[in-house]
Parts: sequence; C-alpha cells; structure tokens
Amino acid sequence: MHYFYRIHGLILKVNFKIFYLDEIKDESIINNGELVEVIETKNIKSYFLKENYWDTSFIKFFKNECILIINNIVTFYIKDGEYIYWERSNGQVAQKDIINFLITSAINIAAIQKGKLMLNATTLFKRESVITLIGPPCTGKNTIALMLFDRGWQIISNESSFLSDDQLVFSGNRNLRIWKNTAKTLGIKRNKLQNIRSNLRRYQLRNKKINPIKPSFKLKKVFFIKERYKPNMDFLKENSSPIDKNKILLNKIDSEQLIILKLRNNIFNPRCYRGLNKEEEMIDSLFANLNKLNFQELQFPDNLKMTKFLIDNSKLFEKEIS
Amino acid sequence: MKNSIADNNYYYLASYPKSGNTWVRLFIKEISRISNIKNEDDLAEININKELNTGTITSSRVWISDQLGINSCDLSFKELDLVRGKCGKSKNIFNEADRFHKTHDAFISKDSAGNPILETNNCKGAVYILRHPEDVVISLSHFFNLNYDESVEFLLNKDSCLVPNEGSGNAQVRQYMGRWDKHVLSWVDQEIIPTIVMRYEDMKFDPITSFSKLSSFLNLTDDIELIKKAIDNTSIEKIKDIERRLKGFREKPAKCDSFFRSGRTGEGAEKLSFIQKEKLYKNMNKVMNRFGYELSK
Repeated sequence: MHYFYRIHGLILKVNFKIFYLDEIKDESIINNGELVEVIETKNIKSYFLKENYWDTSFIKFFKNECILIINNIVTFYIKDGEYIYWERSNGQVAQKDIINFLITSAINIAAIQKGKLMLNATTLFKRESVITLIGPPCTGKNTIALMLFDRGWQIISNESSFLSDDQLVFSGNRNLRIWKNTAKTLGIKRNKLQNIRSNLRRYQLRNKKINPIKPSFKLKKVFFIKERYKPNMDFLKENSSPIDKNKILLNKIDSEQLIILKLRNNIFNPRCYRGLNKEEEMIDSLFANLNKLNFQELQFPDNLKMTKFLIDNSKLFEKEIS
Repeated sequence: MKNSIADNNYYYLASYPKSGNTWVRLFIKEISRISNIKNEDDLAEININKELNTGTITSSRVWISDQLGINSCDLSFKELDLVRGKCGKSKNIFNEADRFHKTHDAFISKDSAGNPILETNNCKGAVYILRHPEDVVISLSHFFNLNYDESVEFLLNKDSCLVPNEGSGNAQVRQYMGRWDKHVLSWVDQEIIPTIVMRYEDMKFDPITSFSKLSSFLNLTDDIELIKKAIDNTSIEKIKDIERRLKGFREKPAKCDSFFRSGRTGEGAEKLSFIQKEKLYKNMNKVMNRFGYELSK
C-alpha cells in the first residue's frame, strides 16, 4: 500500500501515513508530478569512495547524491531528488522519528538535488494574502506563525519553504512546532500537544485538523525575523534612541545587496548547495525573486505575552490581507 | 599576523565562564587588527561589538546544525552530546572568521559517553584560561545575577551547565561544565590535544610573559612591540572605557550592568565570607593549590 503526499512541489511516495502533509489521490496528478520514492533498505554505506570538500562526519556528497547519517536513529541515501532510501539504526527507533527527519531534512535535500530554492522559512496565507517569515532556527518563526494561526492564517509550509523563480511557494510540512516553555507561557494545555519525538520537549499541535490547500501560492511579502530585541541591547542600533518595548519594529529593506545576503544566509542547509554543486542555481533563483517581492525586517519584544498581545491587536498582518 | 588558520586547523579557547576568555579573544583580534593597520590614521581602537569574531563558539546551534545536516533542535541535549565531538570538521559555511573557537564546555560531558565533547581531529591546540575561583564567584554573581552563596554553589555543583533548559529554543546548545575543579582537570590533564594554561592573574601582573606565550602557542606573532601594543590596547581600563562609550557590549546578559566590570584580582578575598571561601577551598584545594591558588584570609 502506498500513499502520495505533496511537499515542496514534489510528490512523495511512501508506504506509511504522514498526517501533516496534504495527501494526493488523483492519479493524473501523481503520474504527472515530480515523484520522490521513499524506500526502506538495508546496508546503506556511510561514505562515498571519493571524499567531497564539503563533507562533514554526518553528511556526505558525491555528484547529485547525498548520505545523511543521523546518529543512532536513521541513515538516508538520497539520489538525484528521485529516491530516498532509509535504514533504521536499530529496532528501538520509532516510526515518528523516521518521519520527522524524512520531512524536515531528507526531502529538503531531494528538493535541493532538483535545483529548488529552499529557505529557512515559514509561509502562511489568509484569504489572498501570502507572507513568509524567514530566519534561522530559534528566531521564533513557529511562535509567530502560531499566533497568526490563532488569527485565521493557515500554514503553507513550516520551517522550510520552496520558493520558485516565479514567486510561488509550495505546500510543505503544515504542522507547527513549539517549545515546552513557549506553550506554557502562551497557556496551551499539554493535552493539546504531542511530542515531536519521545525525548524532546518540543511539540506539535495535537489533532489540529489541517484542511487540504492549493499546491502553491503566489508570495507577496517576505519578513526577515530578527533576533527578539532586548532593551539592554539598544546600543547596538545605528540610531541609539531607545526601543519602545511595547511595539513590533518593522523596517523596509531597500538595499539589494542586503536582501541577497539575508536570503543567502537563510538558505536551508547551505552546505548541501555547495556539496551538490547547486550554489550557482541557488544564487540565480535569489536574483530572480529580488525585484518581485517586498522585503521587510521584523523584530519582536523579548516577551512572548507582549508579542501575542501586539499581534492580536496590531493591524500589521491584517493590512496584508487584500 | 603569522597564523592564517587553514580551514581544517583550529584552536580552542577554553575556560569556566568569567575567567578571562573574552580578554584573550580581544588580544587575538587586536594583534590581527594592528598587524594590518597600514597607517596611523586608521581606526585607533577595536570595536568590541563588531570585531570580536575569532571563530564560532562551539555551542552554536547554527554551526552544529550545519555539521549535522539537520536542525539540531530535533535532537535532545543527550543526543547532541553524543555527536558534538564530530561536529567541528570544518568551519561554518559563510563564516569567514578564523578558527579560535571559544568554549565553556568541560572537555568531556556527562552525556558524551567518555568521549571529548568537541572535535579533536586536526585541532592544533587549546588554551585553558584559569582564574582564582574566589574571583570567579564574584564575577559570576554579577553576570548571572546570583548572590554569593548561589555563585559558590554553582562552582561546586557537579551538574553546572550553561543553557540548562531543554524546553526553550536557544541559539546555543547546553554546555556541561560541572564543578570548577573538574572542569580545569578535564582540559589540563587530557592527552589528546596540546594545551597551555593561562592564569588570569599572570595575564594581569605579568602580561608580556603571559601573552607572549599565548602568541607563540597560537603562532600569531613574535614581534614583542606588537604584543606590547595589543596588551596596552586591550587592558581592562581601555576596554571598559570602550564599552562605556559604545554604551554596551553585545555579549552582556540582560541583568548585568556591564560585561567588563572591575577585572580586579583579590575581589573574592575581600567580598566573600570566610565560610564561603573555606567551602570552596575545602572542596577544591587540590586543584587550587596545583595552580597556585590559596585560601585567602
């Protein structure tokens, strides 16, 4: 029995259910899509015969192939963006761990092998409006997305998003992930949360029904999420006037050089682009999007409750809705 | 500056927090900066908020994720401690800095299965920076907003670590340190990478000898005039003044008034009670004596 799911413009063929991706049952879509087949196997090698300059102890490259070793959990061998072979490290590894790393890492590497521009980004829509939040892990993309989710925004793709040269973002992992302390501060009850992995204090929302969405959305606005501001860091601003800690700071970015640099620095797994020799394609894609999107920088206070209050009461995101 | 660190060669700058690690990094950057000044009109002093990148801190999530090929947030601290020892093969992508990596980790973590918590292949060496624990207590209490009793307990706690909370997203992963004396021994008695010890007190009272040793070990320069100038430019008084004029230092925690505080030695002797000092000494006298630290009166 096989299941087919949409993710980053690809069609994932697996023999297990994945609840937070959009399932496809239409055979014509399946037959005409870019298929990535996920296959359990044995004896995946842990290295290629020729070492690549960009190899680390855990990720290895050879031409358009990649081996990803996740210690004591799973090893993936990803080939040409078409096949993902996986091998469980031992019998104790839970299936949800395999699915987690398949969705958050292996499939993104397959997308990179296909030459796609993958960003560290969470993309959302509400009516006709589409925004993406870009920033490295732990900058609060999930937290802000959760606050917007509560205000009617829907997730297109969480944590990583594929942005095409014609500004389309494709549906991906549609489940939000939050840390235990964030859940506690925002008053989300434990019974509404599910562990991402059994030994992590990081959760996804339990039983939030995800309605299927369109395969892709036209992006309009990009928000780079800056590290949350702290009043004691006022001195780092070029303009040394104190920050109003009860405001969301919003700055338009006009410098093309700065935009390209910020996008490049927020590429998902830049080592893969180098190891798989896809950096040139990636840079071309960045430039293809440069003048077609509106780029802003967003900074929130270092206080979650205040941030929630500001998002609930500010028109910042609501005015994006046409 | 002689040493241009090749991608696969690197050093560690290891210490318990508040022992002088930042001072050593400032010196390294200052040597580099003044070596490259072409005329006297160039920038007269180091900008501590823009020019202190000597290399990625070993606990950086971005770097660890880059090496692992996955988001490090998806691994627990215990799982991370088992893999961090292989996470330094190459420097962070897009990070053009040298590879003098700051670390507060003990050499072996309680969760690293007896293996070094950091990569050791191709490591050219480690500088272990050490300070009288009584003074560390005072400095730590200001830094973490602890009272002196709590700060003493921190140094004596076998489970002490930075970023202890696994339930929050943080730009750094947990750094296990343990007791102060065990932390010292974990670095100075390991036999895997060559290590020199820099005592804070020697850096302060015999800076030329101390920083010349550092400079030689890191293959920075043997130009004594350059070393003297870098020492002068990075004295605590000058750096405090720079911090004051820049209105802050980016590595300063929220609850701490200023990062560069007094830099004094003997402050612990003055401010701690005899009971507090005795508690430190009673528990850690072997290591304290070995490095010339006594119970102060």
